[in-house]
Formats: sequence, C-alpha cells, structure tokens
Amino acid sequence: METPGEPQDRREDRLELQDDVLQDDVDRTFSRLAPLPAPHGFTTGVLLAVAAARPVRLSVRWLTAAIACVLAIGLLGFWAGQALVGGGTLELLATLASDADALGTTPGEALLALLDVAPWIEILGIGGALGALTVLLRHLGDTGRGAPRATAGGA
Amino acid sequence: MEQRGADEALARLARDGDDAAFATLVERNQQRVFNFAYRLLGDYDEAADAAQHGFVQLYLSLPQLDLARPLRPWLYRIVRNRCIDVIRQRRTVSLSAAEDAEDDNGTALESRLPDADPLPEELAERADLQQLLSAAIHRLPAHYRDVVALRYTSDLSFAEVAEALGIPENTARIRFHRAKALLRTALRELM
Repeated sequence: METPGEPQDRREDRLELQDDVLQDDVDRTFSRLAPLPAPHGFTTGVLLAVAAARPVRLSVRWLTAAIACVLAIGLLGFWAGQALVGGGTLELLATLASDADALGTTPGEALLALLDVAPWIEILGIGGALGALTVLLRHLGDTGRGAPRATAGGA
Repeated sequence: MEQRGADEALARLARDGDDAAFATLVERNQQRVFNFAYRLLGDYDEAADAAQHGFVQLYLSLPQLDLARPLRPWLYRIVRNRCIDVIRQRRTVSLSAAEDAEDDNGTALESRLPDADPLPEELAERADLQQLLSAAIHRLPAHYRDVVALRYTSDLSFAEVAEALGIPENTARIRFHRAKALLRTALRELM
C-alpha cells in the first residue's frame, strides 16, 4: 500500500501481500489466509473498559460552584435561624399553634404578622441554593465517569 | 487507503477529550491487533482480551505518549507484552507435557538446516490452512514467532517491527527471513 510522501525504500519495505509483489512461497501462503474479524462488540468493550479504568475527571469550575452552594446554604441557614429566634417568628408560630381560635378568627392578620417577621429572603435563598446544588451534583455525577461513545459504525 | 499519521491525529484528538476519535482509532486497528494477538496466543478469547488490554493502555497513556512518533509500534509492543504474560501464566498452571515441550520443539526446529525448497502449491488450497499456519507459527521459537506474527498481521515496516520488539532493524529482518525457512520446515512436517 502506498502512502503519500513516503520514501520509496519504505514503501518497498512494507509487506505487500499481493501476488504481484510477493517475495516467496511463504508470503503467498500467508496471503491466502483471510484475517479473522475482530470479535463482535470489540470497540464497545474497549470503551467500557476505558470508562472503568480511567480516573474520575471532575470539572473544577462545577465543583467550586457546588462547594459555594453548600457554603451559601450554611450561611443562609445560620441567618435564617437567628431571624427565626431573634425576630420573633418562632414565638409567633408558637402563639398561633396554641391559639387555634385566633388563627380561625383573623387569618389575614395572622398571615400578615407571619410575613412580617419570617426570614423569607433567607428561606428563599436556601431553596435556591439547594436547587442549584442538586443540578450541579447531577452534572458532576454524569460527567465524572461518563463512558466514551462509539461512532455509528462501531462494532 | 490508509494515510500516514491518521492514527496519531486521532490520538491527539482523543487526548484532548474527543472520545469519538478514540473509538475511530480502535475501529481502524482492531482487526490487525486482534489477529496479531491471535497469532501469538492461538486462543480467540485470550487474543480478544490481550487486544482490548492494549487499547485500554493506549487510552490511559495518551497524556504521556510522544505522538510525533508512530503510534502502532507502541501499541503492538503493549499487546505483545500482554501476550507474553498470558503465555507465562499458562505455563505456570499447565500440567501438559505438550505445552511444556513447546520451547523444546522450537529449539529443535531452529537447529535444523533451513528449508529452501518451495512449499507445494496445494498447501494454499487446504481448507485447514488457518490451523496449519497457526500450528506452524507456534512451533517457532518465541523471538521468530513475534516477528512473523507482526509482519503477517500488521502493516508495519521492518523499522516499526523492530521498534515494537525493541530490537535493531537488521535483527528484525534477519529473524524474519530465518523464520520463513523454519516455517517451510514446520509446514512440511504438519502437512
């Protein structure tokens, strides 16, 4: 077989198992032998073995974002806790729980009081950070040990 | 028609994270590599495992490989080493006198006068040619068997065969030509 740009002596050096350039009877005998096809699914097997063998590669950027989410959840949780206790939310909730009549008689006022004292920003922040962390962890799990895909013509 | 450097180009892409390029690299070389392992081992499943091992090692070694040099000699060297390990493991557990005598047969074959008479033409027409040639190759001493298996299953030049086997190019040429004479002797005895 010829390859562009290859020196003449190299081309002649390659074993051409074709009748017109065979050197001797042993070469001709081996040329009659059809090569065995590779086992069915060989490429897929290689790719799966590679996926199992290679080290987990995590994106630093995504990992940093996940850690930031965890820290945010911790910080927001701390602030929310302080607000719940120091801002009177827990006390209000305890009062409403103990006085069901008040809740049934003036639900609007109870709700307004709760909206006024509850740390909603911190609570919403915690929810958002949890959602973001879920997405990040799912992405890290998918890409960390993903197997390479065979081409359409692969075995 | 294969292009020189195509495998190396695919390897560079694979090294940069293109898994489809690595899959293509495997598909381009799987048949030759498998046949090389089969010539050495004579066992279909063991040859498949050895060939797969070679490609896995190739992938894991991509960051360290010098892709300015031809890739195939390195790949065949890895597969050959794996085949040697398999053969050694066979001998460790084997209680068969026939397998233990393989080396003795190879030495005895090598000690005979080289056979220069051409092989009979009808040999090429035999239905069991695959088995005959495999048996003949397995009768060769190991250092001849490697060269013959590489030359008849891959498209490596003598320089690349030498690189794959870690020997000088002239040694590879000499071993190949001597091996062919021994193959004639072995094939006549097996016919």
